[in-house]
Amino acid sequence: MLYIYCPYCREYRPEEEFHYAGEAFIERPKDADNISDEAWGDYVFFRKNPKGIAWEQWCHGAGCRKFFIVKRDSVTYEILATYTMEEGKAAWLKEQQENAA
Amino acid sequence: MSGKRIQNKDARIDRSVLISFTFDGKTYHGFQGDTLASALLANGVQQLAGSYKYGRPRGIMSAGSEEPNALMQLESGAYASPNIKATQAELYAGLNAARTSGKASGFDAKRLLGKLGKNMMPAGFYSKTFKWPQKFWPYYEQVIRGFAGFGTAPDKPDAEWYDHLHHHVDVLVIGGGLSGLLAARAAAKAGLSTLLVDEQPELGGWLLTERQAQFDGASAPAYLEKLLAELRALPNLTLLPRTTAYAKLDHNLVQAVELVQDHLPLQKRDSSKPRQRMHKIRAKQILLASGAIERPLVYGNNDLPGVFTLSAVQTYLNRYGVLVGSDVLLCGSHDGIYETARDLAAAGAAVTVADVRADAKVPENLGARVIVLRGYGIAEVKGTDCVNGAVLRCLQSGKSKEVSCDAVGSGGGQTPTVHLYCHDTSRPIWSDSAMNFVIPDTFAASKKGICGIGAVTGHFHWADCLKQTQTAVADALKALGKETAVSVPDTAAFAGNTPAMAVRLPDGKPEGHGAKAFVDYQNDVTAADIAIAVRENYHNIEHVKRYTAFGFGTDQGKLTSVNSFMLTAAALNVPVSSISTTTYRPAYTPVSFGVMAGSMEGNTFAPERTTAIHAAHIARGAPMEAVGQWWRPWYFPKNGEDIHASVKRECTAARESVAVMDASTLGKIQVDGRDAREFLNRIYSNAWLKLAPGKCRYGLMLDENGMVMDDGVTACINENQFHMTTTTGGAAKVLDWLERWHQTEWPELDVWFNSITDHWATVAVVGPKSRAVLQKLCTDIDFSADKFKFMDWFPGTVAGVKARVFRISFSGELAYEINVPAGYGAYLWDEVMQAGEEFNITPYGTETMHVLRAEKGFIIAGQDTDGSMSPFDLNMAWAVGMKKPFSFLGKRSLARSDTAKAGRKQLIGLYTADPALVLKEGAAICERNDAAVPAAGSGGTPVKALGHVTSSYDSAILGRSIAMAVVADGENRKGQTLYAYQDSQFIPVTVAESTVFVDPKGERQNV
Amino acid sequence: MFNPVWKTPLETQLKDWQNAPNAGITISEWPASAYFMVRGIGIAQSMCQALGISSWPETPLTAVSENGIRVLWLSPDEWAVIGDFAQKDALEAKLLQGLGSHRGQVVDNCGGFTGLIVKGKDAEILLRHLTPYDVEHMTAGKTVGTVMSQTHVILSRLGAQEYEIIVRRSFADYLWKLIGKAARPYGLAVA
Repeated sequence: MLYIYCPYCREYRPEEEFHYAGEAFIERPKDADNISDEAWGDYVFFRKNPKGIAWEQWCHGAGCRKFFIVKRDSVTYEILATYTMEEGKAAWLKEQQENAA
Repeated sequence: MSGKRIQNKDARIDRSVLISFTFDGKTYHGFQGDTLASALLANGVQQLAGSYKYGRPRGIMSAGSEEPNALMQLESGAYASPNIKATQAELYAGLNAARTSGKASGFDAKRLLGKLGKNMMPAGFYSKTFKWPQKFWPYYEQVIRGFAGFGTAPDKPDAEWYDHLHHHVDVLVIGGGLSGLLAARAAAKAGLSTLLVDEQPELGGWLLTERQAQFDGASAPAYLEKLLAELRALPNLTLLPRTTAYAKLDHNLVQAVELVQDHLPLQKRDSSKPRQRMHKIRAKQILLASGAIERPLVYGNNDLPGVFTLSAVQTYLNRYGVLVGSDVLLCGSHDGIYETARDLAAAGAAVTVADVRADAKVPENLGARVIVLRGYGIAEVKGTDCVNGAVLRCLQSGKSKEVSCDAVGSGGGQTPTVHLYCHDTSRPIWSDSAMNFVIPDTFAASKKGICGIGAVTGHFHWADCLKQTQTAVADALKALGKETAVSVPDTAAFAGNTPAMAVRLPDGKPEGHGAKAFVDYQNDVTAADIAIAVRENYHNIEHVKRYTAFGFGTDQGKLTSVNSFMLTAAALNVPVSSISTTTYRPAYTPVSFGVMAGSMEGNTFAPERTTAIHAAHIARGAPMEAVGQWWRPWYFPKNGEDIHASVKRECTAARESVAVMDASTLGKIQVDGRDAREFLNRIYSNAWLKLAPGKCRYGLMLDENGMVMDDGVTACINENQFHMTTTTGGAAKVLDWLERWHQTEWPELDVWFNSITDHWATVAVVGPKSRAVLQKLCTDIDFSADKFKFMDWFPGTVAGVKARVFRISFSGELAYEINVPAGYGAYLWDEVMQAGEEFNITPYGTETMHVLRAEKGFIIAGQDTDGSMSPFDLNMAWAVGMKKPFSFLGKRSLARSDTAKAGRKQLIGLYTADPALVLKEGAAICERNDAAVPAAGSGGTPVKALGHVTSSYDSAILGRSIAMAVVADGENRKGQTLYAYQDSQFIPVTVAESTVFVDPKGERQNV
Repeated sequence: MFNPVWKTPLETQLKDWQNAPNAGITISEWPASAYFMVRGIGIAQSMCQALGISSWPETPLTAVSENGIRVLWLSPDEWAVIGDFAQKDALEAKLLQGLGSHRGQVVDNCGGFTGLIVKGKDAEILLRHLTPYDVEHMTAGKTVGTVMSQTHVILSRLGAQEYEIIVRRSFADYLWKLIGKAARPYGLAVA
């Protein structure tokens, strides 16, 4: 059972208080009506499911009801960091840039 | 009868408390402090099980949780516990135990088969032999399962109860041997909150058996007593004996089961206490002091009753005062054989020691009756039901030597109990010095949050073990911010012989040709089986395990899995370090279902949510139906009516006069904000921009795949506030859905949500006379048809309470839903019943609600839909605003080729040819009635189904049955005859013109 | 003519409870109470003004009790406001005034929740049976949203041996049954 640091309540809480809410940073296509079936299908159905570092959304449903970002190792289950939505997005973009460089 | 009780003043039993107990119907006596195993051995009971595959006689092998053979059925009826290890069951007055396998005497078919078969049941026997013909497998299985035995499940509800307790500690010490106790003392003295768990009833671990080493100049029992007294005085240390840590889960959560009352006589158990308690322990640092288990050697007939592990022989003698034999043969590869020999000889036994090491230096003062043979191993033990001799073999010359003996103890070294360290699926590491798989012995090399101390790290001798403990504990405490010296007692350094590596002792014959040499006792796996598995090309250790079945069962291979790894490596001719181990998974020892469930049983198995009006429904005698977590009245029988009569009467009241339902369970969400309307427009498929305050609208919610997810009526309270309703079961999911879209995708929108499901009690008043009832209760709302129209809502005062009254209908009748704060719910219900009395107002339940809505063709999301129905499949295009500017959730998917294609399953109405026949929900709909339906499991070609019945009821107003179904290309099948398949028959049905069976023009509610 | 009667969710259950002798835990239920959920951004100052209180809990997991009302932090933009049932309408008006033109909402939820006051030497261990939350390290004055078996609760520590559990009305009976079972070793009495 995971022990998750809620970035809003600012303390560790047991997994029972949370639920997983899917891969993070999947953006809904802005011009949904005019994109291809394939592009729309990718958005609706396809997920990365990485072995290793995963960026995830979790919701502190029994606590502050906030959705937040968890950077987690899908192999060891170690949580490397948790972030508010905004902080998480910034950290993720920074990591992407670093990886690209 | 070779075991007996001896005078031993240091034994941990209380001879002043004599305890009588029964085993297999016969009465025996033991003492307070005995386990069932020690008491049975003291009474000379040796043979108490029959082996799994060959039916061979088996006895007690060990003195702990590693026991593979002595599985007992304890007590009966409401107290029955199957497969309890006799080595762990504490003896209590009146304990009633029975074997779970084999027979004490008389004919034993399996044993006979095992004997005749001899070499006919090798690894893979069952899967090879009973494979053909496949269809006979169910018969084979029945017989084989009957053979396998191992205990009987209780046939009565448990008489006792269980609970869970959560801990959050700085340090959790697992294991109460010397290392664990010293670690706990250091941690607690450093001011850390510390918890120590140990599986045994008495703390001390090996100190309870040790009688030769000295600690700070004191004997083991004396030192232990002093240490425990010190520990018990430490305020921030909790000691939990009888508590087995059986799982280490993610982020340092350890689950441990405490046997709170299992050791007490049944009549002395306190009903205010649980039988067992599960401790869920979140620890900053775990110190794993789980010790090690003696690894037996592998030789012919090493499973005969009277064969033990070396440490078990010593433990029964020193701890329980039980001599397992008067003429004992000890064989091993380390100096434990000499220690044990010395203790046995002092207790008056004759001892033969076979040391596999030819060059070992034999210690002095072993005792007059000890004979030592160096360079010898056991080739084969002799005997049929018990040990009555052995053939030794000189490992160098191959010469045989017969010796007399009535008990055998063997030891090939220690296997560290690494399980909890490896529950994250990692593997232990091979240590050449420990000659076994170990976990890291330094804090620095250990995983985050868990560190081994003592024998589990491969340091087996006292002085060495204490030194490791001292350093590792100090480092662990330092990491927790407590720099402190860890004190350990002085003890002599080990000065004996170096241990040797030994597993399989040779008998001079090719593997498989001599007497059976067991590797895994519980699953009857022999050294020959491992060789066969490797020969048949199973080279991965996980495959060898599954082909031979070693390491499975209630002991999980604690005793012997490492022998299997070593023999596999030997057969493959590779070092065992390259084989590694199988996966260590929870649970370390079996855990009862009761303690897993804890309070999740009976009326707290799952939440039973009730409305504010619940007590009134119970008082009226309504049977309850679970709808999601809610408990709702199903129907309200009068004068002994059955459900059909009751529902018919309730439906008639709703259609002809007035009926009333508790609708409080509907999910309700208050939505506020300047962008609330825009938000609704995005998450509902229909349009919301023009809904004025005071008006209600039905809304359909789709997922991004375009499929119906939930529905409900939403009222506009004011320009920036809406009162949304959802299905009873979907409320939490919908609130989560709304928050998710707002928080993760459209945070810029000014919109806010809160559940108001519990705040409002909702009473639905339904039927032609509903207006009259409302008018009696409320004078500040004008209920006239032109002022209070269908899909309007008004605030007002109902029965003196501020209320929201919605004119909406889930029945097609004139109907009102009165919402009041739930504290007034019970009161309002009573007032409505009183006001309606003159119209014979009739309460109705979920069944009538279903009939009324189905007569009108209203869907239930989750019953008529299943996550694969689009609004078009439901003929609900009217609820889809394709022209809305924002591409609402799911819209784009409606245009995907699969969603937009013709011939999809669509919702249709059905009439049975026989109006009295009510179809079963779930019945398959087929095109023809002449197909041969194959029997289940026969492998025949299935008959193609077009779809299935989703809703089916007997309609009182129509005087006939009606049904809805989802059927491929349903909208083009109006008037067709199809067939519903149920009860092995094809029932002819006609597809209706529409799903609206009653009042298609909607005139009844328009009054 | 009408005489409305308000029933708290556990009124009957508590009345029917057989008190244990030497109970280590005593429990009472809130009377009918005003209970609002307030959400919003940047509302602290205006709420203080409207309610006549000196502070509004902006620090996570804290609460303010002043001027006859209690405000519990639930999330960075959500609070529970609890007051006297008789002053419910006045309190709602003040909260709406405090919200003013800020983004947010005021939700009347007085029917939706009840609170249990749990006191006694065994109150802490009772809670440790019920919730995985770290009760051992909970300081007085702290308020957390957590779970008890399968229901959500708002748990506050009020004093050395005094806690409060706020639970949804429909789950109250379930929670009461869980408490009854967990309290068996310690004895439970209704205050």
